[in-house]
Amino acid sequence: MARDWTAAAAAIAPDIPADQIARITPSLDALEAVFRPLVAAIPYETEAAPVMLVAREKDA
Amino acid sequence: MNSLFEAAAALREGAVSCVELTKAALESAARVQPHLNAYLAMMDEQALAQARQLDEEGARGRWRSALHGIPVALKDVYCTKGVKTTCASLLFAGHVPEYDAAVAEKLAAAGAVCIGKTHMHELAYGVTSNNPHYGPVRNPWNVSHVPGGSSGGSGATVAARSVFMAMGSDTGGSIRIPAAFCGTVGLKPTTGRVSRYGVMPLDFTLDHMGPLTRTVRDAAAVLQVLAGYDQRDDSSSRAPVGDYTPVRVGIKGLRIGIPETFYYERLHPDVAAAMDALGKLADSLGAIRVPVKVPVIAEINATARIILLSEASAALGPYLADRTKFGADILALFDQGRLLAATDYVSAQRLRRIQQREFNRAFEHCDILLTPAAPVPAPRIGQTEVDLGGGLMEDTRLAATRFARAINLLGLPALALPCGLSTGGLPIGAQLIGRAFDEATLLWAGAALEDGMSWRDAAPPVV
Repeated sequence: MARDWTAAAAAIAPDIPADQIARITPSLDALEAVFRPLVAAIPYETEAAPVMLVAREKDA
Repeated sequence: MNSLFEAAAALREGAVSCVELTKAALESAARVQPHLNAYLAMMDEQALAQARQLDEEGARGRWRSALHGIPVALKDVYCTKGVKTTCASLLFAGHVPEYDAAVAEKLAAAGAVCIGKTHMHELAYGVTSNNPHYGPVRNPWNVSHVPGGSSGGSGATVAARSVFMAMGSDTGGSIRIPAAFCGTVGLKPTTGRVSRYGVMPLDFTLDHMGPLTRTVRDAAAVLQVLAGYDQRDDSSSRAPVGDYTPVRVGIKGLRIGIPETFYYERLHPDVAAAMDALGKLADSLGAIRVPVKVPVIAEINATARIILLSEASAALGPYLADRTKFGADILALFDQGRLLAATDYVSAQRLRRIQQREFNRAFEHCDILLTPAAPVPAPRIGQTEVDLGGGLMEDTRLAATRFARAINLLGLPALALPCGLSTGGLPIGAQLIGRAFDEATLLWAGAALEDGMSWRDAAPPVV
């Protein structure tokens, strides 16, 4: 289900003008369409890589 | 002199002095500035004073490194003590740092002479360097076209032969894209290889620092100076620094992976032809082209975009109260980032771990990957969509970053190198991608391919 970006903006970023929401909605929707299925498939035990995993693994 | 190495040799032979080389660089940069707008600030006095000191040292037989006396420039994200550092943004128009970035420190210690701060896309958040506050940077191959971004001024000034090297920063292709569009070499090192200390951040986990140069060997010489651990940068790695220069010659037996999907799809015909020719050149040098499977890159790009949108909006969020200080293009990106959920960001960082692991499997079958750096040559200034050929259009930002963005998420080293000119006379760039911390193989392969290309001495109209 597509996110309601207008409602999201009203809740957390009310200073974003309505016409700007309309402009950025297609880009956010397109990103969501790729990203959401990926999130649904993340194995439960997977931890985040919040810092530089490549570097840390190489150092170890 | 066509390269840093040639200039270094001329200095040691006494054919030219550091002061003469610096004056020539300053004069060149000033001469083309009205055409290219490649600089935000010049550092004439400091540069000449430093050059005089370096000449005195050279006269005593003290040569600091291969960069001794070499004129260079820094993208305006690198803090420079006492010199305005603005990120090409109104937010930091009066920002004069009290310290040098680690990269600036290392270059100065190595004897490089910084002549100025290069222009860029506002806050390093874009691919065109079409800056609404300080004007567009222009491409020396055709001034009605963009130089790429965000390190557009660095690409333009190296291509215009004003300096032998200019530093860029790369969060989603911002070194490799201007390198490809301007016909220069651009190196994005492995995450943690070059310190980010003292660089104004766009994204805390995707930013990388690296050089744009005229030749691959020049990039190797610069990396040799910059690589290494820095305790002031939390992402800095203690992995041993390799021997990057001089790079080996010949690539017989090198396994070059050609991705079976994504990277050779939706290419401008001129890019496709140039990549085909480069592949054949690799064959003729004895390399072995190997088809390899890679994960779905569009998914990695999406993960990277979630992280970039989130982190950039978090970093610059406090400044967004005054929306008049931002260009419309980056304001749209900041607003997108503000609407993403915290759970999206954490999910993206979890996906990052998975995608790194999956992508690295490609290197079980090859030593490096060869791809285009960008699917098109440089677009015109103001062009919001690019023509991929046959009327197929794509958003300029998404097209320019299509082959570059994922590599920042993965943290791998990547080298952009010129591989030809389009029918319209614009440069085309290839990209070599390597294993983590294996910049040496990238530079070795890149130098061998560069040696085999006949067009490399071609100069742009604006020099």
